[in-house]
Amino acid sequence: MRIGEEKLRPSIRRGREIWISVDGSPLPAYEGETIAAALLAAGELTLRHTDKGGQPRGVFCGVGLCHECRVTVNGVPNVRACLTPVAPGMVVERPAPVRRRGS
Amino acid sequence: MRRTEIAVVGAGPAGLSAAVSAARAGARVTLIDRYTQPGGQYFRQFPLGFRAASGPGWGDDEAQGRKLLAGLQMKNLEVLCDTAVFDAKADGTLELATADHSFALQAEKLILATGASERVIPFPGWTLPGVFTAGGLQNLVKTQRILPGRRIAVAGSGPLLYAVAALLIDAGAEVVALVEAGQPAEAAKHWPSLFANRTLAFAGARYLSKLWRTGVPVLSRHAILQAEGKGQLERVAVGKLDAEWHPQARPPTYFEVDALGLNFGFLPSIELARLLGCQIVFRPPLGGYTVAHNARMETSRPGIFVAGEAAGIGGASIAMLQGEMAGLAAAQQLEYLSEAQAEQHLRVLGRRLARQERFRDAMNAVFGLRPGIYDLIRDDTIVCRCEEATRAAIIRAAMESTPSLREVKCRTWAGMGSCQGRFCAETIQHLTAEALGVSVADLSFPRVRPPLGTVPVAALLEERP
Repeated sequence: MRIGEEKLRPSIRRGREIWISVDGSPLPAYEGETIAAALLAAGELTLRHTDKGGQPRGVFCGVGLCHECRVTVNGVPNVRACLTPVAPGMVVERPAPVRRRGS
Repeated sequence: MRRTEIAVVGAGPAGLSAAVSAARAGARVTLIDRYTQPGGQYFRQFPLGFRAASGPGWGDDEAQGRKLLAGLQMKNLEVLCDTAVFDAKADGTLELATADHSFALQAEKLILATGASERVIPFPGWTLPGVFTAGGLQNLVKTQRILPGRRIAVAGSGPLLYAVAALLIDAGAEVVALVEAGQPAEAAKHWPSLFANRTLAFAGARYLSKLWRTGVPVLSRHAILQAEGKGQLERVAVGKLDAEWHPQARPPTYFEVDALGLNFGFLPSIELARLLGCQIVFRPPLGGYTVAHNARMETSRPGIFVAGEAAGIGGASIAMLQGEMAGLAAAQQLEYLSEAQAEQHLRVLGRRLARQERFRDAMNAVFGLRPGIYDLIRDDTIVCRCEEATRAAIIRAAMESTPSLREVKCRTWAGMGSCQGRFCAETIQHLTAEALGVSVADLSFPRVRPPLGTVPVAALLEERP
């Protein structure tokens, strides 16, 4: 959820409201937010599934070091959601879980 | 090739201070940072696109942060943001990459202010969505103004937990527990040292009083034994630790949570220093492997300096003092100030640094990691998140091979994923040492190889002069 603009000091004004697409569905976001922030604000914690175990993963370190939050943005894979700001019309995809080989 | 007199890598508190002090002395300085805006994590700025009513909200250090950022306007100080160092030579050549091109920068002096990353000790369930580092959570709340859930716990050890818990309360979250492996009450024993940084001591007292007033349970000598949930975090099991932080066999207490912030202190980022061949020293109270330096912050490689967390975890006050010292010492070597002038400045700064180090040492005595905490890791617990290597796989590799961390890495791929071991290397070292019955300091390190971090191929292909 988004924190009210006056709730913390200093109070802030978010950028203008824009729309991005996540897995084909529209998601509202505000300019200045990262992709991760827009998804977390909507309660979407899971960003991808791991290659080997098919385990769900989401934002972990939040500063671009762990690479857990990678998503596909406008067709470019492995983009870190925690560092990348949203832009109008951006297309974000969370790759579907891959079935574990041999099981 | 581009040239500069002093290149500073990292624009957090240490790098900003180093760049500004060297530029003030007259040197031509290039400050390099991987993020879009300077400031590092400590002086993190609001995202472009947000407008803040007043300052950035850095609390007690607001004035200092603004002064440092204002210093970046100096004509002889160039700032390169969104720029990462992916290779370096000891002659001072840095290979730099942006999102779409790469270039080389030749510097006469280097100052490494590469900072730190958060230390997290694995436990079952720590990879579930909803589990964050405490610093990551702080970032989301402070600058993105997002709460990833309503009920939140923070866990680990050390001062950051209290700051984050207080911030979460202000942001309207329900902080269900602060789970602390250390014993914060022991801080009272160190009261003379706490006076060395009254601002921080008071900030700590403020956070604690907020937690008490809000009724947040502060569970010292406790840890999260397990995080559970279907597909994402739903609850945590909290258990008691003994004095050496071994989990005790007692039924845990469960807390329903939407999100969790973890932090067991910080780990110095020393990859660039290692690549440059600077001597590394093992100083467990300062976060483990740190870059060795003399009283002027010069490393074992002449002309290469270090400042801030890479020289040992000590917090922003120490980082800023060390940065200023490194900046002056580098400028002195380029003869922008006389030896006598430099000596005088450095002596004053050195005295202030010694005072801050007393505070740091007291904090480390209270919150410093104790080995029992590694017992949280079960055989099937994932240690390396990137390669999904479990504790059992790592121990098996350690036992079956010639004892070296390199072997463990080759056999399990642990530490080879996209985080480059940032969140698992220390744990792997500990597990390997334990399995072999040696101490971590006895293990030889796998070599650091370029590229550091991840570099877009597009940037490598587009090389500019």
